Amino acid sequence: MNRNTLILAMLITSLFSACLTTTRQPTQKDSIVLATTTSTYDSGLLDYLLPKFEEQTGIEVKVVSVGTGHALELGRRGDSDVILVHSPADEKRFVTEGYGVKRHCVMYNDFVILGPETDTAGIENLSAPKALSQIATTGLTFISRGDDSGTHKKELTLWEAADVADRGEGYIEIGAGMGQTLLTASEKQGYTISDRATYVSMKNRLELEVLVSRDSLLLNPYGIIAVNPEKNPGVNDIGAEDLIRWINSDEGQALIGNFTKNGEQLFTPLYDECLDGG
Amino acid sequence: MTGLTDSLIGAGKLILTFDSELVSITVLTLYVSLFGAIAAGLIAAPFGILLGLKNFRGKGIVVNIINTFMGLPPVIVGLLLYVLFSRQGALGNTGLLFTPQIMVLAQFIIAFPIITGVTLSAMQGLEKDVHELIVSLGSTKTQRMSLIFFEIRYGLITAFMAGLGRAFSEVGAVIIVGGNIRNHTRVLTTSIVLETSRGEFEQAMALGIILLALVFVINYGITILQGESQR
Amino acid sequence: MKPLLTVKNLSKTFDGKYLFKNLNFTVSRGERLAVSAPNGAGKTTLIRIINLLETPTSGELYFNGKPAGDARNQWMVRRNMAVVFQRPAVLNTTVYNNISIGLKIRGEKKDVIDKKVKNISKSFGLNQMEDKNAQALSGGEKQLLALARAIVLAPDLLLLDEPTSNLDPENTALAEKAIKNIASTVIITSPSAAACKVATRTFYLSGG
Repeated sequence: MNRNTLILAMLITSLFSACLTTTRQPTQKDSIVLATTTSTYDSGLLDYLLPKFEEQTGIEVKVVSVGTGHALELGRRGDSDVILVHSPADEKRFVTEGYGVKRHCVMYNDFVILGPETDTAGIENLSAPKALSQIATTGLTFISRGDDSGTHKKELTLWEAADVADRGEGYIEIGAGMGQTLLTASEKQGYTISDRATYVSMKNRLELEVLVSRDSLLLNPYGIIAVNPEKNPGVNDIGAEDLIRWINSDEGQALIGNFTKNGEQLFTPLYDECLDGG
Repeated sequence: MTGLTDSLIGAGKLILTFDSELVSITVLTLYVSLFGAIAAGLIAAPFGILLGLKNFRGKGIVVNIINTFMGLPPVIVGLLLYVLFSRQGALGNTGLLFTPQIMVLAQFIIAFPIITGVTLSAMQGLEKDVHELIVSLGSTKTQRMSLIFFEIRYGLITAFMAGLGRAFSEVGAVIIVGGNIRNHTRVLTTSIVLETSRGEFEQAMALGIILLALVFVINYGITILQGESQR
Repeated sequence: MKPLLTVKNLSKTFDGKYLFKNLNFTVSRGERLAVSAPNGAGKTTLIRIINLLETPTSGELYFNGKPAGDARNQWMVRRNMAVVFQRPAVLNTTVYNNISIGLKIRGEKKDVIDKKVKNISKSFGLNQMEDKNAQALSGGEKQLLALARAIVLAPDLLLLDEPTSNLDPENTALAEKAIKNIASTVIITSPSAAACKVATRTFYLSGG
């Protein structure tokens, strides 16, 4: 028995040393935590963009991708140093309530309303609110993210504009991320709203078509905000400002514009000029 | 949508290329799960043995609490740890949120009641006269502990495997406290969730196969040790 | 010379009734005391009390003149004894490990243990089964094992509770020979006086 315990102990110790050396940082790097939304992260933009920032500044960006509500909460609690979301109303409130320093407008993409090729509800090329009210009337399946995300909030704005009594029999809230939502909509051959970036990156796995787009109501602007060090003294506010400065610089903005997936440009840079002027 | 076999084939290809990110995710999985489960076992096993030996006033309540925690949804552990270690939380100054270390802590807390509970059942299987034999041989308290340890060794191995299995399969708690950060706190289970939500089924499948293989190899290794300890 | 064991006013009740009451006797070094009584009269309980596995309802025990009952370090007192019960327990390991465990506990060196264990298992006919798991043994084999594991310790006091009840005549004779040959003081229980051939003195246990 003793010999085996010894062997086991040696195995464990060597395993730990191996693990510890691979997970420990070689040098003390300056780092920031960026809280963003799952749809932003899943587009692949950040994995493409951030390494260049890290190369130039030596600041490591740790990305936590969660739902919009969660990302904002991480900012309020100071668990992240900077947030990148696409929910203008929430972003403005974040700053006025003192949690964020300033709202910077980074880029925008747009939302699209997707549906099956057959388009039984006949919403193709209608305006966004009209399309939704049509879907409600026909009672066909509509998949909502139902998770307080930027996409969900956009959807709710559109329903308000559609001004319908109820959203139809087929309205389903699944409380999931964008990718999951698209897959579900595709499976059920129903309708849904998605940001174009996620749709494009998953296009070949989906049986959905873009039916409504280019409606001004469907624009999806992204804001980046540094967490206010006065409310959360422990945050790396300098690192956060470095990232914001870089991402809004000519170089950062050009990189954003050049980012493509499946041959399509996903984001349009804003050069810190907000669409709504705010 | 490609079928199951296509996903499996794609998975096989991805594994064989030894992608460095795949490797680091696997290593972190091992670190977090093994460290957490072993640390839990080192404390939970003696605790379970002592609990099995002694009879005291509140024993029934303590056993009840352990059984409750055995069935506790681990995601609650994750939530509690998050609130505690968040910058605004009581232990926010430690800066442990979104690190592998807090993931180990979560695994420890999750595995602990399981290992204790199974050890307790093993103790119940320990016959009174075997215990008395150990005592009557003139053993000191420490010697008694190690003799009991040896006597219920199969039960202890089962207890550890139960705790370890739980740790390997844990997703919810680990994603909340770890943040699923690339190159830092991403493990196999959380990666599977991420890739699935992106519709990257081949990648998710590859990760799933690796996880299964890992669990298989480790359980096999433990079984070999079990066989050796027959003597 | 102080007696090895002194039992003073020992009483034990069970379910409200006295098993035995105000027991008084001493055991001198080198004696082989047979405790004789019918079944259920408390022989096993008496052995358990002497081995400090049970506490008496009242009364005291003295080992070499020193009180033993409340000793913090009961394990030290127990190290001077070895006990064999009628249906002995075995550890879930080999016969060899079972026999050697007492010696290991007492911190003896590995090669010394090896010699002693091999000797005793040979004399009890257990050497062929050394690597066998003790739980697979028959009742009689377990009893031989228990005897071997007790005798190998060469204890000051050897406590035997009907140790040959499961043994065939051949092995019984073997066991009795071994008991007679050791230097230990022996307390052995048996249901009838005539069956106990190893004793130098007999004590009749009567109920309360």
